[in-house]
Amino acid sequence: MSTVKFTVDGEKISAEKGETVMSACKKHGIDIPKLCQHDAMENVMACRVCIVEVNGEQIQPACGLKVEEDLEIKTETDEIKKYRRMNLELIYRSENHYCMFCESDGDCELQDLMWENGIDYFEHPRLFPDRPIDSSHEHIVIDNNRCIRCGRCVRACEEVVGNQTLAFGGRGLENEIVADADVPLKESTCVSCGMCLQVCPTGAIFNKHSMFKGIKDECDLTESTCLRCSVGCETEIYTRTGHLVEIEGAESEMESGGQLCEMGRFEPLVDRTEKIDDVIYKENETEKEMSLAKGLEKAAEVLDEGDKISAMASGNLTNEVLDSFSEAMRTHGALFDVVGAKRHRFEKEVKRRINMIEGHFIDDITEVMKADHILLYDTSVRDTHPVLASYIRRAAMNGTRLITIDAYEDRFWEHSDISISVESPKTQLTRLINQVVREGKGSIEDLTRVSSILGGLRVHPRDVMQVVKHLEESTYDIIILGSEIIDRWSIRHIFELAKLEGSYLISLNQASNQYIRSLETEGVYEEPDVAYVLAGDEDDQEDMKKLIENADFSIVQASKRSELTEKADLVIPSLTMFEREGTSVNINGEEKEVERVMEPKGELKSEREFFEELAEKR
Amino acid sequence: MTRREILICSGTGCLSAGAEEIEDKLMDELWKHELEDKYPVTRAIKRTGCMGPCNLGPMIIIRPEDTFYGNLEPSDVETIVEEHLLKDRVVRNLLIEDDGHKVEEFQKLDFIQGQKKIVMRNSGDIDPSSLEDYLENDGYMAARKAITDMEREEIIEEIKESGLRGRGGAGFPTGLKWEFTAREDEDEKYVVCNGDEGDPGAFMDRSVLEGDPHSIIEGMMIAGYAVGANKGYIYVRAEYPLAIRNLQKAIRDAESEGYLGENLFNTQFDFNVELRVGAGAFVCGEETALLSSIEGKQGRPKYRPPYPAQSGLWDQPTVINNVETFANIPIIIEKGSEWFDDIGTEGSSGTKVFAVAGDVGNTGLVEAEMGTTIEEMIDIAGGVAGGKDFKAVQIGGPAGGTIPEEHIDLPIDYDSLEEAGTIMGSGGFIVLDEDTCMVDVAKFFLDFTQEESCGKCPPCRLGTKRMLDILDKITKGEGESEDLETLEELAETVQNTSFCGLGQASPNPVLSTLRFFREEYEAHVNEKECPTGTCKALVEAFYIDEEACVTCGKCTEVCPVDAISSGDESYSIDPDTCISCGECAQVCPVEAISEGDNE
Repeated sequence: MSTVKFTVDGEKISAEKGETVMSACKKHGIDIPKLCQHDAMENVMACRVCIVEVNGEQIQPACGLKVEEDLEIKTETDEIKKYRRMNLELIYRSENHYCMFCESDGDCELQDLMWENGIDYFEHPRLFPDRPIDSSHEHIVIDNNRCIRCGRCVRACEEVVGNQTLAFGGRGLENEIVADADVPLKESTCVSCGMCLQVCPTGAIFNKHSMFKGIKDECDLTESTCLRCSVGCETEIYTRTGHLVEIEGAESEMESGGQLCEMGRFEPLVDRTEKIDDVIYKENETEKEMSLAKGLEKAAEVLDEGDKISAMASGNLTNEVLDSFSEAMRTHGALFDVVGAKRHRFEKEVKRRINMIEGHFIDDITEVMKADHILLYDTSVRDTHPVLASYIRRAAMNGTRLITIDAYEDRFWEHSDISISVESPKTQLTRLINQVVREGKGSIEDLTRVSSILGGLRVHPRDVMQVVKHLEESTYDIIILGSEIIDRWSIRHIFELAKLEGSYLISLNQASNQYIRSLETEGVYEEPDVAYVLAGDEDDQEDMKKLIENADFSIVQASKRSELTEKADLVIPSLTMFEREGTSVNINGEEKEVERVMEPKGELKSEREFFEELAEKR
Repeated sequence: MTRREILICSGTGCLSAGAEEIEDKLMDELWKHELEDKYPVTRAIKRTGCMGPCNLGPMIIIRPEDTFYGNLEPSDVETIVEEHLLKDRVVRNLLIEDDGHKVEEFQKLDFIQGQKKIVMRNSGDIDPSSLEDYLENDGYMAARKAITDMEREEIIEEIKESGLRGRGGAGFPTGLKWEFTAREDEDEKYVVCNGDEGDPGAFMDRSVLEGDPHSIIEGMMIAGYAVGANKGYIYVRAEYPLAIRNLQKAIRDAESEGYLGENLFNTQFDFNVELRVGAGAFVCGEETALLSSIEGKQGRPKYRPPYPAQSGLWDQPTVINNVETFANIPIIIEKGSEWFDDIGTEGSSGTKVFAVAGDVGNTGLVEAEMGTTIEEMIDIAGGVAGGKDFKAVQIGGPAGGTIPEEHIDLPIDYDSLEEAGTIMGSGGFIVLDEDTCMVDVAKFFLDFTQEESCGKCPPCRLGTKRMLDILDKITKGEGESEDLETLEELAETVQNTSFCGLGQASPNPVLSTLRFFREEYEAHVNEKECPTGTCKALVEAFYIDEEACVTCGKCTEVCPVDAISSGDESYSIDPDTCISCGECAQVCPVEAISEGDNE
């Protein structure tokens, strides 16, 4: 990359060729005002606020203008200031910018610019737009009356989330943000990721659960990692006097563009289930509350008495909690397992049997955007790992061939080039693909042969051959195995296919903490004397439910009331995900810091100490 | 009896004036007089494209004499057949009058004589739906010559030397544009014809597309060969159904006869053309917005650079030219750059087609040599209508400006117009007489651009609206002293900071009227007066002089709002109802009615 030198307001700076003036200036600490530009998206030069004077003659937007040798840029001439001010005044008068009645008052890029330019009164008569407000969506409000048409939300929806729900409708003064073909957002193809409201520079799109709870500047900010799935997005969590206000994606994460999904951004804000503060012991149909110390003693006592003890932890806990819990359980002679670990054990076994090396596994999921083919086996990733799903959509939009195989609906139907729907047993299809690949291209052309292998499967042989053909052609293909696949044969066939074709693999798991790969786990007793379930924030894990139903005595340690705690004989409080701190391993195998967002409110301050004590009570 | 050919103008203007009815009647009459052998319908009656003098439609030309009959009624056809066709006698009372004398031949019309037809060479002359007819008029000869006899560089050099500049408005040298694209080392390149003509009142491109579609295909083909493109797109607005129909037929015919497709003229060169129909957004006339629209995206402009010549349609190098530009190409190749360069002025070669409208004797299409003065143009169009005084001419449509009487001798070429504060634009030419209010004219054009803004950038979306608000205020008599200054500041911001040409040019009608007719604005603002009486809110109610009134009642008959009531001695006007249209004053036989308060 060659460098060029140019002048900004008399100061000589150097920049990389092909870079925009705005980005070069930013690197040198020169901030050019802007509204529509956003680092995660393509520059559209729409807002005309970043205008600069070029070589004393032209006026150009700094976000569009590319640096050139000896370019002479002035950012603050009288003329530039005059035009910028006029455009801001026009925006100010044309939409509803009565700051004191706006949710974003104090958190608004437009307001900041108005103040910087001394615009604190209406120079021109106001237009009073009267557009309907779309509040149909569960989390998001779109108020076009406050929209400045910078188009960040539209670009975020398309370029970052790969979703193309938001678009511009109408033209001129009637130009506005619409969802799909102008339907209420609730009825649209919106995936509820909330990226639009995160990038909106004004109060036109905002979060229903955070609104009017405070200005960001007055909140406490904690940077942490989301543990809702193994993507492990970096989060910025705003709290005020110990209460959750808003969760945003870290925009420094360029590949994700600062994305979060509905689970990470909105669900913690709407979670109103009752928190567990005290130990509850159920005896003869009556509930008895006791102190944490008493609870610990009771738990130790029960564990001591038990012969067959099963212990199971959620896969969304930190390394430290998992370590100390497994240690405590092993001391008490329990068999220990983590939700999602079974799949890992199967994978390990398959890898050993087919002699597969680690090189097939990708250590950076953003690589899917560079692949020429993606084979997605089980499309539930759209719901289980939404940010990874956005990378798959982005890849498909940019020309990557997408092949999907699913037993239910194809959740990528808008983007998949080949969509194969299978009925169980699913394994037959992968076996078939393997067979076709194995037997070489000769059999690919033999339709009847393929048909005969297909047997009862409702798959068109041509589709299978197309899949094989694509895999043969591709130079960089990635196979993604969804987290709902848990049978050994499927895993074996897919891994074999990857090995045969030299494909790369991403294997998704129910657990968000991939530390479980290195943790020693085993199967548990199906009908134990005592079951100890460390649920954390989980409430709907089938494995856990089954375990306590079959146990003579069950202990559930959880942060909130759920079906699990209703059924348990002894309930012990755990920390919430925002009270916990530690580390977690994401799908790329990177160790991420999980920060404490809020101080623990109950008696329990550290789960680790609790388990260490429990271990000692042997 | 002489064997004749009857040309009937079937341009959109004449069709809406009833050309089809005339044609039906003509066929009936030929049948009635058993002339079907001498005048076989397929050969003797020829539907042509626009002949030019639109206000004379429906019109026919009888050849070989070149006799021209205009403003025809179906009942006239019988006479023409009986007299002209059967008895070889010109029907004198159906001839058109120029300056009081009857003109027999089409070419002798003042309106035609002053013109130089290059772009419109075939329009009105050939049947646009017939490839055969085009071929008989040397059609595709230029393409054959270019593709079989000329090197690519040679063609570009020829176009450069001809001095041809883009007819879409900005006047960029066409040859240079082609050279930029030719230089790009890419396999996929495109040629795009911009037929999204959208200026109010403009129909130059429409007439060429309707009247001579093959010339556009031929021009594009030559461009494609010169720059190394094998695919062309013609983008036409949906409001031009006839142009679309004729183009579709032309493309189909050219494909089946081997003038489009593979191995053209037995060479290695392939070229295909596809038609794309726009959905009626003015901004799609802007080249980057047009290309987005062809790609199937929203028609919004994109940032330049890169220019389409380097990265256009689907990010491939793309030559995009206007309809009129392409229409010039075949004839330049055929007759040579020197011939073309000799026509027009030094900086602006060739001709320009104008859609002449407004207060003139003959409205229609005028193709004039570059350098023709405004005065000459008005003469061609039959002078200012109704013997009124000339006030100004608006050139270049909503992106253009107004030129006042004092510059009536200004030669029309790219550079002179720019100096005078307007642009060539796509060729709007609206003549305004002494009764025209210039504030109202500026408001009209700004209203158009404001409505057509795509909404992408604030200066265009919001600035034009604010400007329009001020003009509205001024024409309603609510103007304040600082309004003109604000208007100028806004205009400057919109001009200098808008994203694309549409926004940047939108203040031009305001700025140029402010430049030449500032006193008219000031009269509106300061005196609360509209000097021409156009702005109704500023005109005072009329009153009737009781002494003079003869109670004839003529005034009540014409009053459109029933503001006049009768009385025994005199009639009277209710000043609150009166809209000051002045109809009553015009019909009053004793001049008892005048404007203003009865004091």
